[in-house]
Amino acid sequence: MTDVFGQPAFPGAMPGALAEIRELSHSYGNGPNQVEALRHVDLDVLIGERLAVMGRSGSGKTTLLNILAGLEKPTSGRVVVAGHDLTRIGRRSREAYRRRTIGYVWQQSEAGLLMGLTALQNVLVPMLGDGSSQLARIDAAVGLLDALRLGDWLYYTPDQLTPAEMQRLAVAVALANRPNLLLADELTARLDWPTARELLGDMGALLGNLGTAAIIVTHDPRVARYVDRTIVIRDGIATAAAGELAPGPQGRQW
Amino acid sequence: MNAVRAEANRARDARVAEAPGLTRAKLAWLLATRRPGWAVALWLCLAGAIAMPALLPLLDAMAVRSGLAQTLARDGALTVEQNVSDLNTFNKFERDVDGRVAGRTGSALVPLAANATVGPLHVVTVGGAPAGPAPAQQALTAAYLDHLASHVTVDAGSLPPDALGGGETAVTMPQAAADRLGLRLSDRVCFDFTGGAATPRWCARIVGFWQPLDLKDPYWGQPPNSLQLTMGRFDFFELVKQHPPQGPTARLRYWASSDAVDPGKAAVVADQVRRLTAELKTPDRRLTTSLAPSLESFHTLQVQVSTAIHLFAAAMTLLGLFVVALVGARFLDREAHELAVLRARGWPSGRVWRTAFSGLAALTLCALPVGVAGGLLFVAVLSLIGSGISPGWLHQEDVTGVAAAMVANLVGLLALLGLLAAGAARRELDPSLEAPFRSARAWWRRAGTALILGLAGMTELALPRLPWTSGLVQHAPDPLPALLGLAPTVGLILLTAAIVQLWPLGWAVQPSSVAGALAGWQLKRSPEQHAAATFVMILAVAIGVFAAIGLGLGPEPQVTSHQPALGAGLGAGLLVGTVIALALALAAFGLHFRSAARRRFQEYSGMLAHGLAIADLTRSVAKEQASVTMSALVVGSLLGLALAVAGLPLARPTGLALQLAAASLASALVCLLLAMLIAGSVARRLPIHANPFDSQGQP
Repeated sequence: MTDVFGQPAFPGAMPGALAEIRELSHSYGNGPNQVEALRHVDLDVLIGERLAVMGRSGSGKTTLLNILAGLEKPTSGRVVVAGHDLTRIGRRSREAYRRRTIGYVWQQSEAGLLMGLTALQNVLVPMLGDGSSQLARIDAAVGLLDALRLGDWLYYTPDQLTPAEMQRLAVAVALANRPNLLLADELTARLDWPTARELLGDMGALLGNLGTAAIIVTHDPRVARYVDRTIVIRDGIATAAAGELAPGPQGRQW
Repeated sequence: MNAVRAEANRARDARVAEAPGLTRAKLAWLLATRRPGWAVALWLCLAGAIAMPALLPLLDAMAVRSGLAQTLARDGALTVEQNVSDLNTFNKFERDVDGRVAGRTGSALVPLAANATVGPLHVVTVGGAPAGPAPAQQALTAAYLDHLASHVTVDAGSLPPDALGGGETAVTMPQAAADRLGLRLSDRVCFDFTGGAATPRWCARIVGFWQPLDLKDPYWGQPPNSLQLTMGRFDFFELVKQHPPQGPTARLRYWASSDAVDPGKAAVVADQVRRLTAELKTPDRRLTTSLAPSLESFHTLQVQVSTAIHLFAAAMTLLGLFVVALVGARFLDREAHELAVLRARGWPSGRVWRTAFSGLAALTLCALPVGVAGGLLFVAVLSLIGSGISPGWLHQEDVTGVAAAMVANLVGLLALLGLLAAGAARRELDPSLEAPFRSARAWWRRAGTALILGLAGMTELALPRLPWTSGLVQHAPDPLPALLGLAPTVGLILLTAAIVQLWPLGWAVQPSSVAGALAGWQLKRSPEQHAAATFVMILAVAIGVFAAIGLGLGPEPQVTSHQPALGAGLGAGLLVGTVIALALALAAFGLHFRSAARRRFQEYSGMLAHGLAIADLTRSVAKEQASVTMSALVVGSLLGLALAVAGLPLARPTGLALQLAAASLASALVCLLLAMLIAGSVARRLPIHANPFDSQGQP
C-alpha cells in the first residue's frame, strides 16, 4: 500500500502504478440541486506516464484534477497517489502531499504565481524548507528556468512576461520540487499552436529527466500527440479515447 | 566544442553565484511590501496605535508631576515661629517640632531651615570711629541661619564655623547689604539697640561677605539680601543675653518635597498637614502655611484630569486596535491571493501563518521607533513652548509604567495581527472551496444582542456618576477605582457595537439614480460589509466630540489658573489624542473604501463593459460613504456627549463656556466632515481608462 513504485497500491491495482483511482464519484450541492461531476471513474497512471484528459466544458475534468491535487475531497471511491490515500488523508499529510508529490499548473497560470516576486524567486518559493543549501536551490531553479527558456528572464516579475512565458514559469514552479505527478489544467489553452508545441516539447524533455508523470487536461486534440494515453470524460464518466486521439507510447512526440 | 560548453558552464555558475537567494523572512517581507501604499498605510496606523496608549499616560504623568512641583514650589512651605529666650529653649523648640513633623508626615515634609533673629541693631562705630550717616540711619537684624554655607557663595573672607564661641564675635553679612552700608571686610562694628545712642552695647568683627546661590531658594524665609548680620549659634545667643528690644524669634521652616510626595496621595499628605498644624498650634507659636488647601485643590483637579486622560487613553487604545484590525484585514485581503498560492502549493497553514505574520510583525517593529519618536517629539515640543509641563519631573516609575503600557499594547497589536494572519492563512486559492458565506442573522437575534449590549453599555457609561460608586471608589482597593474610571470607555464600545447591530445604513441612500440604486442594493444585500468602518468612525467621532467638549467646557478656569500644568496636560492630551484618533479613523475609512471601490470595479466589470459609467460607479461608492459618514456623525456625536458627561471634569457651565463648547464642537464636526469628504473622495477614485476585463489592469 505504501510503496507504489513497483508494488500495487491495493488489491487489484496495476503494478508500477503511480496513481490509482477506483469508483471515484464526486458531486456538488445537495438534494434537487445536486450535480454529479464524476461518476464511478476507474483510472491508473503509471510512473512517468503522460496522460491527456479531454472532455467538454463541465464534464468533470477540472474536478478530477482538483481531487488528484488534494484540493477537493471526493464524495466516494478511492484515490491513491504515490501511497497517499486521498480519500482518507489528513490535513498535514495532504499539505505534505501537495508540497512534495504533485505539481499543479492552473488554467490561468498567473493564479499560481506570486506576482510581486521575480521568476527566479517564484521557482525558489516551493523549494524553501526542503533542506538543501541556498546555492543548491538557486542552481536547481536556474537550471529549471534555463530548460524552459526563461534563463534571460530570471529577474522579471510575472506581469512583465508574455502569456507563453508566464505559462512556462508556471510549469517551472510546478516542477520545482521534482514532484512525482504534474497536473496541468488547460496548459495550452491561451497559446497558439506553434508556441504550445514548443512548450509541450520543452516540458516533455524536463518530465523525462525528472521521471515525473503528468496529467494534462485539455480541449486541444493535438496535445494528444505529446502524451502516452488519452482519456475522455463525458458527463462524469471516463472512457478511453478513440484511436486517433490516443496514439500510445509509440506515437508520443517528446 | 568542449571550450564552448565550459564557457557556458562558467557563465551559468556566475549567474547562480550572483543570484540573490530567497529565505522565508525575505519572502514575508516581499509579500508585505508588495503593495507599498498599503504597507505604508498600515505602518502609519500601527505607529499611531502604538504611540497613543503610551503618549497619553506619559502626558498625564508629566502634567501631574509638573503640577505637583508647581504647587509645592508655590505653597510647599510650613513655617513655625516661637519666641525663645536662650539656646536651650531654641534647641528644645527645634527638637519638639522636628519630632512632631516627622511623626505626622513621615518623609513628606523635610526640614529646610532653622533660624533665629533679634533686632534691631544700629551701627554706632565702625573701626572705632563714629559711623557715617549711611550705616547709622539703618536698622539691622542679627540672625543665626542654620546650614548657611550650603545656600550661599562667599565673596570675601569666610563663614565662621557654627557653635564657635569665645574671643571676638565674628559676623558675616550679604555683600549687597555691606555695599549699602559701606562696610568692609575686617571692620569692627559696634551696635546699640536704639538709634542715635553714643555708647555701643555690642561689637563684632565682619569676617565674610556672601551672596545667595539662588534668590528663589525656599530656604530664604525673608529676602536674603536684607540688612542682616549672621553669626554662629553660640554668638547669637550671647547677643540675646544683651536683651535687645525685640526678643529672639526662632523659625523652623519645612518643605514638602515633590520627590517625597506621591501625587496620588496628595490628599493624604494634606490631611496629615492639617492634623500637624492643629497639633503644633499653641498660644506662643505661630504657623504659616497654605500647604494643605493647595494639596487638596491639586488632588481634586489631578483626579479629574487623570481620570479624563486615562479614559481618553483607553478609548484611544481600543480605537487603535479596531483601526489596525480593519486596516490589517483589508491589507491581508490584498495579500490573500499570495497566501492562498502558498497553501495550494502545500505549505502547511502554520508556515503560511508565520509568513503572513512575519510581514505584519516586521511592519509593526518598523512602526515602533516611529511611534516612540513621534511621542518624544511631541513631549519635547510641549515642554519647549512653555506649557509648564516638563519631562524633568518624571520619576523612574512613571517611565517604567508608560513603557509597560506600550509593551502591553504592542503585544496586543501583535496578537491581533496574529489572529488576522491566522484567518488569512486558512483561505483557499479557489474561493468556491471555502466554507459558504454565513447567512445574515434574523432581526430578532440581532435586536436581542443589541439590547443586551446596549443595557450593559449604558450601565458602564453611567457607572462613575452613580451615587453609590463614589463611596466604592474611596474604600475600594487600588486597581478598582482606576478600573471604575475606565468603565465609560467599555460602555462606549458596547453601545457602539449595539448600535452597529441594528443601525440601518441604507437610510441615507435614495435609489432614484443609477448610483443610488447600486449603493442601495449593496447596503441591502450585505449591510455588514461596512459595519467595521461604521464602528470605527462612530468611535472616532465620539472621541472627537468628547475632546471638543473637554476643551470647551473643561475644569473651571480659576482652578486651572492655579494648576497650569494640569490644565495644559488635559488640553494637550485631548488635542493630540483627537488629532491622532481622527487621523487613524480617517485612514481606516479611506482604506476600507479604497478596497470597496476596487471590489465594486470587479463586481460591476460586466456592467462597465456594457456602458455603466465609471462616474456612476464612483458616485455609488460615494453614497455608501455618505451613509457611513452621516451615521457616524449622528451616532458618534450622541455617544461622545454621553461619554463627556460621564467622564469629564465638567464645570458648572456658564453662558460663555457653553458658547465656547458649542463652537469647539461645531468646528470639530465640520473639520471631521470635511476630512471625511476628502478622504472619501481620494479613496473611491478609480482610473477612467482601467479595463475591467484585464486582470493586469485592475485599479
